[in-house]
Amino acid sequence: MDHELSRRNLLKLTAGAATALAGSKWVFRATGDGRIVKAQTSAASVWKPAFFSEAEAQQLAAVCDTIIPRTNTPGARDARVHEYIDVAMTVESESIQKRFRDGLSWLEDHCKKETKKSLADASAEDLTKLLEAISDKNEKIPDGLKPGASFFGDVKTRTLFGFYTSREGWVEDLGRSEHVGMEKWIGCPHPSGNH
Amino acid sequence: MADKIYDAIVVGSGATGGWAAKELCEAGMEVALLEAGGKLDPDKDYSEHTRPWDMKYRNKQAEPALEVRRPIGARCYACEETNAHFFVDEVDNPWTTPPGKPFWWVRGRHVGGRTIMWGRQSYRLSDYDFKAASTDGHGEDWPISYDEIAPYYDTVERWIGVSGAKEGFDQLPDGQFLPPMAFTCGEEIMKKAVNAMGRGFTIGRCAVLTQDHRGRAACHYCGPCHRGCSTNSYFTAPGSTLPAAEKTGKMTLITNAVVRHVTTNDKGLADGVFYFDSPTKESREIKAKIVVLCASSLESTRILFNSANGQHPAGLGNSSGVLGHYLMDHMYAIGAFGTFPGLGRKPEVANRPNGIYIPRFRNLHGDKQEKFIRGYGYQGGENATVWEHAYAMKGFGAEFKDAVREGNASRATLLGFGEMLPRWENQVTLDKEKVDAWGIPVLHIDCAHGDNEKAMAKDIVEQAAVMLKAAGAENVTTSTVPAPPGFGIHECGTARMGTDPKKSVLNKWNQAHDVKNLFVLDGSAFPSIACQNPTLTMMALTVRACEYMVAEHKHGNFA
Ligand SMILES: Cc1cc2nc3c(=O)[nH]c(=O)nc-3n(C[C@H](O)[C@H](O)[C@H](O)COP(=O)(O)OP(=O)(O)OC[C@H]3O[C@@H](n4cnc5c(N)ncnc54)[C@H](O)[C@@H]3O)c2cc1C
Ligand code: SF4
Repeated sequence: MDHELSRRNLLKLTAGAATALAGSKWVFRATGDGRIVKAQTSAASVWKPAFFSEAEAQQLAAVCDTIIPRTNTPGARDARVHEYIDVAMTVESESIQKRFRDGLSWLEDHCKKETKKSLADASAEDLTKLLEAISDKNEKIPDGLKPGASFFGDVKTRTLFGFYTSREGWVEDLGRSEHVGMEKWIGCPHPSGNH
Repeated sequence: MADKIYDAIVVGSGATGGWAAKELCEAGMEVALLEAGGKLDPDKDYSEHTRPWDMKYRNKQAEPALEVRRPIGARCYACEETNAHFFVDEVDNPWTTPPGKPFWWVRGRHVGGRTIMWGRQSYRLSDYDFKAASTDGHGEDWPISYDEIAPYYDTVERWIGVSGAKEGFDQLPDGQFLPPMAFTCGEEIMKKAVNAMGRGFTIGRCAVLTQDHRGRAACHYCGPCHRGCSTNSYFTAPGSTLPAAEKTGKMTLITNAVVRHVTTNDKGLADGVFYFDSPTKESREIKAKIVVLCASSLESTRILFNSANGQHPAGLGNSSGVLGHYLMDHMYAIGAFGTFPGLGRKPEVANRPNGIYIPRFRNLHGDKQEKFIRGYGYQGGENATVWEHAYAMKGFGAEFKDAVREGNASRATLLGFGEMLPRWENQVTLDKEKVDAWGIPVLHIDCAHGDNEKAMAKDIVEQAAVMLKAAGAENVTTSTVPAPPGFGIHECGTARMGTDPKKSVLNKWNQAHDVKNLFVLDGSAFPSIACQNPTLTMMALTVRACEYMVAEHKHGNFA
């Protein structure tokens, strides 16, 4: 196989990815230089949660988006992190499912108590305040908030994973390449030893 | 076809079977290559470029329906969302173990065997290994010395393409290398510290092309090779040896052919194999002058046991009673991790599909351990995290997000691969009841680490931490409990080669002492396992045995 052929193979593979994703609301286009770009086909194909209720999904989306908010780069909601967590939950054990759902429900109740609103409708400031009280940065969490602190750990871990393995997180926030190969390996660029 | 008598039947199309087919076909022999699985289609089955956001579970797991059929395989680092089907279906292909003695067996059943998913690390053994028994008294020496196998290592390396650096280590002989891959910053630092302790440190020697080679393209550093490589830039049988065999026009590849046993004639010689067509479960027979088993270490032994008959009551080639004994694997999953302060940096865009290697330093060059014999090597390396450092960062929100972008950390790993001693009691037999999906008796695998392994494991963990700390690593943590045997995925032994037919199954040409036209070319033949990854040695032994087979065949010695 010559080199050109192998490069063509790469592009063919990219084309293959597009078919594999038929039915999703995203399509992939090969740019011809080995990169792929992603575009939404229809603005509003409706997503339905598989594990959470519609209400829970909206609550979760608000929490994820508070953990990784939109700044000058996309945030968790842009990356649809809650949609990923929903899929991930479908294959978890019952005890993990229950722990997560109970945690979310605890936080929803707590939010209603504090702000008279659902997590889904609370303001960004309110959500931030709520999470600050149960955050891992907070060293003295009162006993009454302990269930919240444990949920914070769970939801943060899943949000980080969901966000940084999304295209929005990887490419747009971290600025990493979307390339599928065709790179050189350089290694240590400091032959002098001054790392 | 029923009446055709092939010159040779090769069973299994993986690392060793691919080489056997190539060598025998190129010598002009008519070869039937029988493979239990089907062909993979690179366009559909290879997925090295699939990004996590295009995977349903972001590569955290595979579909549950796939995972339940391969509970052990799914634990392997290389078994991912898009390639879980490369790992054998353990419901159709079961094995049994005694209570409390797990054996985590990881296989592939398709054309190419485990060369599709393998880690590509390719190291030579040395006379420290081939003559280990005469040094410390445990087990048996190999029936061959380094000088006898060296030319075949050359042949294999030149063909498959192994990148690496020449170092002059006498315990890890240099080979025919393509240019080495570069170290990362942290590896340069580790190398200085490790060398200062009088120990070696080199870039991994791996069957990945650093330049175009024999019609295969150089690696483009995408990273996850175990999902298949569309450019054939690492060595697989279907990307390299099998096309060469096919080109001769001498090879008949029969896929979905699950071999049950070797058939014998009234002279007690092998005359063919009995197999099932996998989807229909119909039985078939095929005849040849020579039978060559390359089904992988334990599978070949299973075929020999299942070939027992009136002339060979204890299993074919088993007049010694040694068949099934002396099972070994590398001790795996123990070592240390750390971070280098001040080395936080943006990771490279490319992914090097390779790590570093620290060759054995125990019980050689004047080192003498009180608590264990033999030794171990390390694999691992250092790189920068992309975002995983975020898990250890506190807080959330916009500031947190900005901090993650700049917070890349250096992450270093050293994992030992420890030599396991050949011991009689580590053995496989046929299970008396259980059969596979084709009704073929399965293996009962009874294997555990012994005292020597346990003492060595402790030293592996300690020395990994010592070396990381010596290099200035911080937050050093360790992994202290070896995975159950099998999980090193370097299983070897159970039909060992040797000079004494009373103590071994095969002679120095991988030829059964009892049945001159029967050969076993895979890792079953290893009398001891050394601590280097074994596949390069299996392939070199295969080429050597094939050369002998061809000469004997020409002289009519198998007629
Ligand atoms: C994730 C992973 C990483 C690895 N990393 C390394 C590494 O870095 N370095 C290294 O040296 N080794 C490594 N190995 C091990 C390496 O893959 C094996 O040592 C090597 O492939 C063994 O070659 P083989 O020919 O004996 O068997 P295989 O390559 O396993 O091929 C055996 C073939 O025989 C077929 N077969 C089995 N039974 C039958 C039957 N009854 N009838 C017909 N056909 C049958 C199978 O379907 C298979 O195709 C790794 C393995 C894995 C899974
Ligand atoms: S890293 Fe190299 S060898 Fe591995 S899959 Fe990518 S191109 Fe192939």
